[in-house]
Amino acid sequence: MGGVDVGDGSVPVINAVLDALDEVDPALLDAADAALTELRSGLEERARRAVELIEGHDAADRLPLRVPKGRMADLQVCERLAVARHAVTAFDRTGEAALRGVALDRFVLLELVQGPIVDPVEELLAVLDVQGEFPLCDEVVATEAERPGTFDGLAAAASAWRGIDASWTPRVQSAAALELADGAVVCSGRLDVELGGAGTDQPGVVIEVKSGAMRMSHLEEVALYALLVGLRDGHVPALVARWYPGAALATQPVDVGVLRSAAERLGDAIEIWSQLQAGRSPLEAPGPWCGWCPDAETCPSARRADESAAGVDDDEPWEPESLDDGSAP
Amino acid sequence: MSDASAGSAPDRSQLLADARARLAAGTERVLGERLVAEGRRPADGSGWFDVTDHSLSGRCPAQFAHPEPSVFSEFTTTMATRNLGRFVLQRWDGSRPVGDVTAELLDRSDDLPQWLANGLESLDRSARAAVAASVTAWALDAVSAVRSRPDLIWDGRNQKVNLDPYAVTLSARWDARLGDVRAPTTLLVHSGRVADRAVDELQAGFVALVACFRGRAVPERVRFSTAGTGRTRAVGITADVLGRAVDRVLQLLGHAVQPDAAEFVAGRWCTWCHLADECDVGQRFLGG
Repeated sequence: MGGVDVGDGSVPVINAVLDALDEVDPALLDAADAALTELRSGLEERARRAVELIEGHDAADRLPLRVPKGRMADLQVCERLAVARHAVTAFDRTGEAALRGVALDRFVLLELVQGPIVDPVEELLAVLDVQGEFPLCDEVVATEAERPGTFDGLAAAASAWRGIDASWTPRVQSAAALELADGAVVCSGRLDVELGGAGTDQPGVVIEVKSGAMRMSHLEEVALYALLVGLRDGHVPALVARWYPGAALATQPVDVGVLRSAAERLGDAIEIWSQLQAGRSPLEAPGPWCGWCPDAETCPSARRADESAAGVDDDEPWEPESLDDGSAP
Repeated sequence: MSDASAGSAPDRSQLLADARARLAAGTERVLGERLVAEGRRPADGSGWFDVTDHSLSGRCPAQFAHPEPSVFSEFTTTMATRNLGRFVLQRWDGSRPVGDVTAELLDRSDDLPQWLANGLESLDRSARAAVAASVTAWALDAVSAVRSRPDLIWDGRNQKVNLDPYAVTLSARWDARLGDVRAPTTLLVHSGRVADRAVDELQAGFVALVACFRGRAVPERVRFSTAGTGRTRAVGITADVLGRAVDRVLQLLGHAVQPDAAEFVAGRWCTWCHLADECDVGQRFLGG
């Protein structure tokens, strides 16, 4: 398949996508599509049990039980973190790592829809403003005033997204959600970039845009998206991938194994979250996430983690996942 | 989505007439001489009560009884996406990418309602790209939910009905229809709201009544789809469904004219509530 040259030495995303699609085995996709019905049934069953547990503890006001991608990620590292972030009604996404992620998402949007970015900060502010993200606008202005040029590298890296033909109908932040137990359990996510798939003439591709370091959990995220998109459209995406600025696109073919493991993790998260909502005390598991846990000041495990972290060289900021669970009006 | 005709138009006409009569009589009973409009509704709606599909499912009576003063809102993707998405789908025939239709629509905004055209006019190139991205994603998601059904007509709107002679406006959103504009057989509502049988029934009755208030008949059914799920669910429109929606409207109007008696009920909605700073119940819930 033909590729594009973005002219600045970065690896064009579309070239990597086309190369990876060449390697996709259609038989594996067919088998994955065929597994969707069974996977939905399994999740339905676990969701109904979760709802029964909550209703059995007179906690029906906790329904619908929302298990967005960010909550799943929290639950996998520390139950107390998940509970604490849920309790904080307006989670503060401040911090440079989070802001870089926000900026990179918008630069990718601009490259996909508008074309080359000329003035990174002005264009970032224009996008955030029309999206109603006024506090983030203030953060961008403050960060740029303090460290001019902070966003230039991210904007330059986003040029890798040039050259994607309109036939792919590029979408950013498209919704993928799964309602179970008649809507009493909801798992939702926002896909950073979606190409092709239902309603287009191109194979479906889901790409997560990551501004931080590669992590195992990112692989699990795209597997979850393969499952959610498959259940949404009736066909799994041909490819899921992660894109890190300056690095080669990390692609993952979608097969039954990927879907099954994602469904297993989602089912586990539904089960654990229902137990916590029904009153079970959360387990504590200290780690780098304690740095942005709302309970860090009071959690004994977090204090221990803080003490033991002294002298540990981990200069890669941990990037919290957004907890957008679709419940905002 | 199988929407075979389930009821005759005359039956549905009678359902509409009965629901309108029940609403009119109930409104007069609840409001009497109160909340009578003094002239036309002002552009910013100040002094008027709005009963929306959203307020219909609200769980805090006080939140409705003490409405947020209307304020100027900047043009954002949130307010524009669903409206523009419907215009895109009216023009999209499946023969070319949805994104191309979005781009054309945004470039020729003189075809749009004035508020949308003015809003787009005020945006620079990057902000328009953000709007375009949001609209294209919404449109393709909506089409995916209905499995690209070609006979759906995406001419929905935010329908408003003023309950004369009162300063009360009913407002319901719908996105697409099957059948005649004055007597559709199905109305589709595509939004981010999660499936909930009780709320679905309440909102279906309300949407059916408000959308068809000046039409010939209520629809046979209202379908809902939750964004990102790729599925729809239907509620059949019966006298019972319409009656419950009317009763709920009357209950809310009761709160409107007796705001001091309206109970404060806390929940996740307190997070975005305009009363949060002065509401003790909400403060306790939010841990303030």
